[in-house]
Amino acid sequence: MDIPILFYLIIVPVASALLALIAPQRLRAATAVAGCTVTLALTLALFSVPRYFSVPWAGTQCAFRLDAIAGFLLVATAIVSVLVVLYCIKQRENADYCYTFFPFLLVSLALINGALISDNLTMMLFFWEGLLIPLFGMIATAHKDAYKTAVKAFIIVGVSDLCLMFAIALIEHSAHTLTISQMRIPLDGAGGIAFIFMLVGVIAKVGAIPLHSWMPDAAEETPLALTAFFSGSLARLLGIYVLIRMTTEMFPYVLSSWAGFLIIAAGLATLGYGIVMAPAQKSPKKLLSYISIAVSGFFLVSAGSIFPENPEYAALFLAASTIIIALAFLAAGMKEQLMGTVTAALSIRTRNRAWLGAFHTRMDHRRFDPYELAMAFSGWAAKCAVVVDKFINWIYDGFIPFCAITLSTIVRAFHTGNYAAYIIWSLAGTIAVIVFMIK
Amino acid sequence: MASSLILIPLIAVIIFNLPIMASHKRLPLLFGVVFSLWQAWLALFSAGSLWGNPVFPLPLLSGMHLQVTHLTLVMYLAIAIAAGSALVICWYTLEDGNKRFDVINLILLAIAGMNGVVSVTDLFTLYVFIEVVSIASFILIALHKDGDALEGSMKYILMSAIATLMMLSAIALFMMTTGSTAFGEIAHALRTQPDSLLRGTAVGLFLGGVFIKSGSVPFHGWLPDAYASAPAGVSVLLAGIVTKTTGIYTLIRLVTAVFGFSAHLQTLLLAIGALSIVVGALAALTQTDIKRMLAYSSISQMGYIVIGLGTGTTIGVAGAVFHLLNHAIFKTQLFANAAAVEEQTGTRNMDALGGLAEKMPVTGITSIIGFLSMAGVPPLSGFWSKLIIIIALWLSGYRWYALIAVAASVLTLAYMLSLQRRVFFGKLAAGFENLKEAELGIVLPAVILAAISIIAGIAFPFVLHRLILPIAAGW
Amino acid sequence: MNTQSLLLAAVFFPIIGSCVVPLAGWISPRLRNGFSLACVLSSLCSAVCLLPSVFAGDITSVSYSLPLGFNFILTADCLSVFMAITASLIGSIIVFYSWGYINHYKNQHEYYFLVTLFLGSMMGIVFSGNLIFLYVFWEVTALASWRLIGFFREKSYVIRADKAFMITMFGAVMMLMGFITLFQQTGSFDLANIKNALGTTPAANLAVLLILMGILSKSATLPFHTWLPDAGVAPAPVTALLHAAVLVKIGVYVYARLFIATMPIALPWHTIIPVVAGASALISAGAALIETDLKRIIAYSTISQIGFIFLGLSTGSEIGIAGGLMYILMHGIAKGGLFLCAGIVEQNMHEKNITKLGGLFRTMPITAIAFLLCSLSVMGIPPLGGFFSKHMVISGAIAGGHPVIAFVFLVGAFLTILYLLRVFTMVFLGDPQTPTAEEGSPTMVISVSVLAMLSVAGGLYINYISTPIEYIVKQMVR
Repeated sequence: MDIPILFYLIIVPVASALLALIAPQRLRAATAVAGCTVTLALTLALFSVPRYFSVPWAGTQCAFRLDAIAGFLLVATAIVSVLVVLYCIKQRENADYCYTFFPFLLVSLALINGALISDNLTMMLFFWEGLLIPLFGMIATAHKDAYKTAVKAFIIVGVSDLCLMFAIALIEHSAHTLTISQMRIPLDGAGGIAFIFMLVGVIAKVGAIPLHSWMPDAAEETPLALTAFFSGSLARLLGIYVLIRMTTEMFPYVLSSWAGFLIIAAGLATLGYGIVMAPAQKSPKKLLSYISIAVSGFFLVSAGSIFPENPEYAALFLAASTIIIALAFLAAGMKEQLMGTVTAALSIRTRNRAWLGAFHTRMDHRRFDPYELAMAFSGWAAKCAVVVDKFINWIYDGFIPFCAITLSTIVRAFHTGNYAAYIIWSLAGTIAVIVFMIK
Repeated sequence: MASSLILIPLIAVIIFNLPIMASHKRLPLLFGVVFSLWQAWLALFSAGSLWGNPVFPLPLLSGMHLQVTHLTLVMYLAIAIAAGSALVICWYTLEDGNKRFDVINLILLAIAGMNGVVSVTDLFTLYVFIEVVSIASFILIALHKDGDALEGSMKYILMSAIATLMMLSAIALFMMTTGSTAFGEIAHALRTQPDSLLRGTAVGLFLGGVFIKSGSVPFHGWLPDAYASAPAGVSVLLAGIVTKTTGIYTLIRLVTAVFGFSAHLQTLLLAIGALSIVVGALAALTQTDIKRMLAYSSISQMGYIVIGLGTGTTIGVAGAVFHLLNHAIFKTQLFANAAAVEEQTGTRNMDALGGLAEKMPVTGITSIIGFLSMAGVPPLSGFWSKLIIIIALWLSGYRWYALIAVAASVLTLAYMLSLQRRVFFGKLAAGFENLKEAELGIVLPAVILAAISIIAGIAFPFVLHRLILPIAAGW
Repeated sequence: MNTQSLLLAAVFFPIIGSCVVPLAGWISPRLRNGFSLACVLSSLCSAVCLLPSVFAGDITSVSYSLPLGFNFILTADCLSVFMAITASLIGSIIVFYSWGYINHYKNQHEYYFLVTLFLGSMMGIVFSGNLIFLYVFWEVTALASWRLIGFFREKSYVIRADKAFMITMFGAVMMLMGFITLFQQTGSFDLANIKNALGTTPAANLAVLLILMGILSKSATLPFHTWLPDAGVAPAPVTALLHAAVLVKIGVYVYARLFIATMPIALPWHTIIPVVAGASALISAGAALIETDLKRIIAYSTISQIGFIFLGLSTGSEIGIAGGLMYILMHGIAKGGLFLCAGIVEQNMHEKNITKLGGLFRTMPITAIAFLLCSLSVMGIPPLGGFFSKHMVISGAIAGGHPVIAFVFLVGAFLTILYLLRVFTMVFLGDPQTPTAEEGSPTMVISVSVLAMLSVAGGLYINYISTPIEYIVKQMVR
């Protein structure tokens, strides 16, 4: 049977997953690495030529395509997978978890690839919703009581997937086609409702509010590898990808209407929320997840304003930032390992909280007491001393994302000449930098 | 041939009671069983020509003419089945040799009487044979001479006397106005002069008597006591065939062939039928004595037959007759089961029983067949007759009656399920660990009857073609 | 073998075979078990052998004219063969499971007799071409299920069995009245004649209402659903049969056969029935969320999913009908699997209350994974079979012009996810509240694994299932 070469993007990871399941423990890591590397090679090889084909299946025409947008993201996905697998092999703790993690990772890779190359909404939903099973598995196998978090994640994401299903049904009814590249749906009536439901689906996946709550809990319960792989990077990648497709092909009039505002509003709310919550976290993993949420918000804003105009660059940006953020998370994990600075990191946060607490006390008029004032001022002083310490950390943790963001901001701004956008972006970028600094 | 069916049992009874036959106590039983089998075979498989001219005189009594219609054939079959089973069950449930002998003889007498009832052609002879059967029944009910039995028998005699009075008066009126009591002449007279008040009164009186005899509501008060307090085998006979023949058959025959369907009569039949169905079913729900419950359910099933008759259509009458036949089969069988239970456990109180199917499997299984046939569950024969009645009702436009009938079907199911639950289908009640199945003589009739229910249900086309549809066609 | 003999074999081999089962049992229990399975498998094989001819477009028919219009007619078309294969496939697995399950209990001859008779009557229903015989086989299944529900003979169980029998019989006699009304309207009880006589005239509303009462009572939809959760006291394979695979599917099949394939119905019904189904789905899903008895939860789930199937069939759009049919198959497999797993848990733990169970994943891993896979199929998660069916049903509902009802079902689907995950986590994950027991016997575990794998295969190989179903739908609406 002549299997189109695109399908190998799905078949190879699935095959490696099966191999990894039956392989003895020593070989499992090797199988995973092999699977991811082969996929990476495939994506790079396929990258150059846009491909498109459709096959009749289950009563409808199922289209698949590989264009520049999908291409960038496929490469990014493969790279992230390789990085995560290597990270898992390198680090010594959580070895048992990693061995069950690999098959789930490979299956997720296959599903994400499938979703990226689908041009048919039902197939896309098939792959998208199919991610629920590996997600549940990856969280639940972390430790004995992790299943409660897994259930919560399953329910939140599952319900949003149901909304996606409903939206797709509405779309099929109004557009009479399920091929994404052929749709042009106006935003009134059924189309508008479909848009809202699809947005719900996207929101849960990227972790925007109000459907974000699974991410911090999942990050807390599971080893870092999962956050790095999925919640922090690839979930967002998939969600924003679908949003790009939505705004460019499916609902082409988004930008100038209420729908665009909706996306931007959701994005800003998420961004703000993430930034506010992040410093208050005591646990490093939760901190990372809130940063991830903030970044998701940032991307939502962009998707609602800038991305539709030039989707290929958007995809490139998304791909690059996903890889970089994944790297950052992994680096944070490595750093904690190498320097054993978990406690140190915690103590920084404690001092941080003390500063915030002092600030708060200062605002309390009933305690307008010279002694208190002195304490507050000394808190301030302590904070300045800490900044230097933080700067060192910042270099490890914040520098790379900072470069990425400012760089791309500059590139984008020059390319489009859209200065308003430039201002928004730079503002957002600066806020992100501040977040990293405080961290 | 028809006359022989009456004469042979009569003569046999006389012979068996001669002093020289005193030592052969089993002979009447054997004779009775063989005769029943022969009668059943005749009813099912004999060619029409055997029955000769439609009317021929009975020797010795030249005034009496006999006629064998298709309805008669069905009744012969029903009588044979029910009475034959009653014979066997009576033999095995009575210990006293003398009583046994007397009972068998009485039953043979009743058979002769019933065969007469179903084949005569004038009112007076009909009355005579009905009385023969009734007298035999009185004696049979009071056989054990205990308080309950005597009371039951008394009630039956009393109600019967009233019925008898009504029937005699009606006959006298007919003699007065028509000069004869033959079916043909009365029918002719009623058709040509429909407005005669006296004849109308006579019709009403006779019907009243018949309703009492058949146990239709509101004249049913004697029935539960008579059925319940009679000895086991006698209940089988009573429920299985006596009430059917003297009551319902007479009703059908007279309404279809003699009195004719008038609007008033139809309404009366429908109303009494519906009333009987519902009252019988509701009363049965509350019973704790097996036989009383079965007695009330008999009243209910009689209602179905009357309501089928009340539609006034050929299909309705056919359905009614089919149901009569089925009733003979399943009610006999259910009373046989009750006899088995009473014989083995010594009680009829359902609250004291439970889970008996574990120890008495044959009785248990046959009771299921019986109750399903009665509730009208396919593929048993009871279903087909009920279906035909309901179709007849619905198609004639009596939709509410049809709905009442089917709702009562569910009620029937309800009380029979409660009987099953309390007696057979459950955990074994305390004190019955050593229970054994009843002896062959009691169980075998039940098995045969259950088999007939199943076969008649699956082979219903045969039954319809052979027995039932000719009634519809011939009428 | 010619197709007519195949048709007759499919129906009568199990029915007549069931009568032979007790005799086989007197010779040896193993012979009886094997023979019983053979009877059901013969139906499956006959139905499968009929596939080529029905999908080539030929309709096989066996008919005998009998008095009063009660003609005995068997017809094999695509829909019947599909239902026959579904029922006998799941039935065979259930009989196989029974080998390991029922040998701990008494009255085994009766059990195998009834199960075989039940499955044979199911074949009778799906192949019947005359309304009266449809009713006959319908009632035989009611009778068999009465004995099977009360099988363990505890007083409360028998009361529930009686209740189930009475509710379904009430619905059935109402349906019979509906059939007689149809007879009045068209002059025949034969489906083919009714179809020709009606043409495009809708069937009388009274007939539709009465027949619906029968259908709703058999398929346990509001307001006739109360018997189904109570019937969970039956032996586990029986509940799998009744609640999942076969009995509740009778109602939806008759709906498809009568109101889609045979006669048109007036337009308001296309709104009324989805609304009733929606109410049923929501209310039972809510009940499932509160219950603590394992089998009752799964029973309420069945009521909910049947509402879903009705939605698919009743909205009048082809994709909805296809989705409904597909879900009949997928739900039967998955729900059968859930009940059989529940049976394993109940038999080994002797505990039905999920608040007292927990942590069974360690000791019963195969059962746990089978349960999880089957639940995922019922929830409608890809790549399992239930996903495509649910998607098609929702699409069908919207295409049929009922977006609000589709949304209601979305809420129902959400509740499904909630309560199934609740059951799974409380029973298999977490800390054990009672000491855990070992895995079930080999035949039982193999059965649930097969069902779980079929659920997965149903999703992955959806292409092989959806093409025939599209064909069935086309044939039905022609």
